[in-house]
Amino acid sequence: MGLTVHGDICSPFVKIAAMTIYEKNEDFELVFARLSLLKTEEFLAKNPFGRMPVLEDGDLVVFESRAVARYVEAKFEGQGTPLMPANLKEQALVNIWAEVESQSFCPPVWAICSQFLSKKVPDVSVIEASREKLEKVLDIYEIQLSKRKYLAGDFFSLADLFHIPLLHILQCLSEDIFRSVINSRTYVHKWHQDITNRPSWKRIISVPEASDWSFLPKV
Amino acid sequence: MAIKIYGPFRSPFVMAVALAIYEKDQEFELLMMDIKSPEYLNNFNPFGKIPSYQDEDITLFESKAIMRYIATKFADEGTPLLGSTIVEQALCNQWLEVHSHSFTQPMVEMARAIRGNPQQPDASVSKPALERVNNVLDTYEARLSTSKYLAGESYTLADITHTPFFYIFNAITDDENKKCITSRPHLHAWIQDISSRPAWKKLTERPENPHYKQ
Repeated sequence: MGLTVHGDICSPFVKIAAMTIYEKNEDFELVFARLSLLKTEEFLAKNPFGRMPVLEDGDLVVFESRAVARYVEAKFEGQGTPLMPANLKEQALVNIWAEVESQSFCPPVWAICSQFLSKKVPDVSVIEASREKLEKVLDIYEIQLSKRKYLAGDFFSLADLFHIPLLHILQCLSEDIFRSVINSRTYVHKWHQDITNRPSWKRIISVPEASDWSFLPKV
Repeated sequence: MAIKIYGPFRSPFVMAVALAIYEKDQEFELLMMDIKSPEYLNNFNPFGKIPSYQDEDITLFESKAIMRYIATKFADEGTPLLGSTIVEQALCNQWLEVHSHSFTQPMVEMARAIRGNPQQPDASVSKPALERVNNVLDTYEARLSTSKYLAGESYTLADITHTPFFYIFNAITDDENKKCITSRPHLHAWIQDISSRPAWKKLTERPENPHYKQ
């Protein structure tokens, strides 16, 4: 019995789980769960917060995409891409930038994407406020990435991986905003091109469902 | 060089880092710096937030990254904090994420409402805000009815990260709002357990503790 991921591959958070599994040269069964199913008793028994993804591995049930990724990395340590270094200081840097993604990068990106995903007419003031926050964060990324190839050093890690699906959904939903915040920054742009060139990522976005949010209800 | 923590004691993120250090039987100096100064931004945390951490080997920021570093660097000292099995490690990580994405915001929102918002002199907690806190605490109650600590049988960073939040909650709430905790027996028992640890007591006895007196 292998890994099972409950969710919809169009979700950037499901993609975090999927990409980590692929990076470790493993595979998983995707048990499709659309947004409407997340509040059922059956799903809430797996994740009381009613969100995707949920990973099942034997008796273990794990939710929160970044925790799922850390588990996959730990379980398959020694095969595929090393996503978490063994060196204590390098590990600390990965953990710092993973937290930055979680606390400073994700919220403004998700706030912008939410406007395009669920509203008929995006609220421009919300988008602008979030974009301003994102620009300040990416200014710091630009300095960081001018000194090293990846966020935690000259090695690809979970810290970089966590950013990829959110960058993708932002680009799909607003090419304009994406270009102006990412392409305008030399090192951020270069980093983005590098990390999205990985076979594991290309495999994920090779299926049309990975980039299809048209099913979401419009207000 | 001793461990240095930068940030005010009253921040639950500073307290969580400090608690992890004491659980590892280490000591630290608590220092303040102007977080908007070029010195802080360039040498400690470019995002201008607290806490930051410095020892003879490294300078770090982001409280959860700092806690993970402490738990690993001092793995063989004091209390183990990362779980004793790969399953406990996974659940520790899961509840650390829950703390970040589901717990912190409703709790901070409620605390701000109780302690007064200059824009809204009426300091009562709004119904939706209270509902958000109660909803999230329901999930903790359910979890803690099946295991002693968040990750399982072992006390871990996941528990540590919550202790300061409940300390503040207890200090600022009246009996009515305290019902969020007292009406949930497993949650209540867990809070009492994690708050009675010697490392936590030692931390609250530090002179820098403002005891949340206004």
